[in-house]
Amino acid sequence: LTLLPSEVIRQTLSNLDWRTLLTLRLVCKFLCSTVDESPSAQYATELAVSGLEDGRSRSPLTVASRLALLKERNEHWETLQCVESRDLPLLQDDDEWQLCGGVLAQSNLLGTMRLYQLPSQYRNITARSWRIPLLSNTEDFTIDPAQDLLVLVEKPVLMYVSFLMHSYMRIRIHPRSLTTGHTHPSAVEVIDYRLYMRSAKLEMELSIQTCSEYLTILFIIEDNTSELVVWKWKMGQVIL
Amino acid sequence: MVHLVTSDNVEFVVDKEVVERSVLIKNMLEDVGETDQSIPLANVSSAVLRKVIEYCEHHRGEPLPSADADQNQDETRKRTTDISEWDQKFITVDQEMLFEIILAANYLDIKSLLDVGCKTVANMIKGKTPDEIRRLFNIVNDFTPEEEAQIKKENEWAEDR
Repeated sequence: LTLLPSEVIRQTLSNLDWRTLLTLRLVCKFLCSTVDESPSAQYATELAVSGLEDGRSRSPLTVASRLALLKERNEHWETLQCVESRDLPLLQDDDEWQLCGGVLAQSNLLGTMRLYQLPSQYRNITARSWRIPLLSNTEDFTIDPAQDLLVLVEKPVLMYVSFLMHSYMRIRIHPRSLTTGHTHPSAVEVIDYRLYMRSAKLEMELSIQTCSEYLTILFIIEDNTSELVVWKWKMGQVIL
Repeated sequence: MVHLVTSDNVEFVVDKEVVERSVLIKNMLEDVGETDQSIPLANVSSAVLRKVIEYCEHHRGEPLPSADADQNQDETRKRTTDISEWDQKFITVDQEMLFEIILAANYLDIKSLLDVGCKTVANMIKGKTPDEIRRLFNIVNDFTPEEEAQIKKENEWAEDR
């Protein structure tokens, strides 16, 4: 193996994963230095050190320039030095905001939501900002840019069923498209839920989260009778 | 037809289309033009050339990777250590022959064959311990115990992954 021309050995190394490359470093001096000097081997191990994977994109970058970008990225992480910084003012002091998947969403929950997509030179994402209209009675929201999803939750309304002598909170959830603000193309228009509470006078907070096809809301109620509900947001059915 | 003479003085007569999978020979033929003269291949033995021609015969007519496709080739090569069934069978030879084929592919500039060879070697290495690799390729461990300990230490970060 060690008698092969160096370019052939380098090509062989480019077929190996970082774990095997590390093993090769232990075989003999020659292979150790060959691995250490090969750009593709360096890139593979450097990625592993950073806990990253190659994007496997068809980008025209060579292995060497990818390695350089990666090293630059890691240096920035170590020093926490920003490549660039931008100040984004909050609309008002009492704005709700969320930063998720490189998109910053902020809203005073009245009228419109302002969205700002953070640029990334590594992932070739450019800065972009846009606005979408909200419901006038929005209580809370969450965003999931990977699925182009914006979940709006209306202010809960207390409903009283007189002949049954009980009351419940009507929760209305709207799965929307994050880019257009309209109903999400693969989802139902609105999800209705009835939250039964021991007393209508209790304070309630909610915390929303999405994960792939699931949407969960934790209703935190004052008297420790909190409730966690999981939906499939596309169909609107309750799972849990 | 093209006449090739190997290092052990065996003459091969091969279809031009087949032999032009070698970029080296293709360029040579373009330089000399039509000729009946045989081309000497001082670095390739007849046993190896027979294998190389078998490979080129099988893959005749397939498009040659162009020079500017090189970059993409590198990418796909990196992505997979998969080898087609025929190539896999073809490359199942003893280690000496495998290295001879790789050397010949490198010398004759037959990218796809070189690629198959390199992948095969990579597959042989995968999943083995340093000791097994040394035995496989007859490599002498030239590290001092201290040096070996040092590299093990450098590799340590990977252990919990």
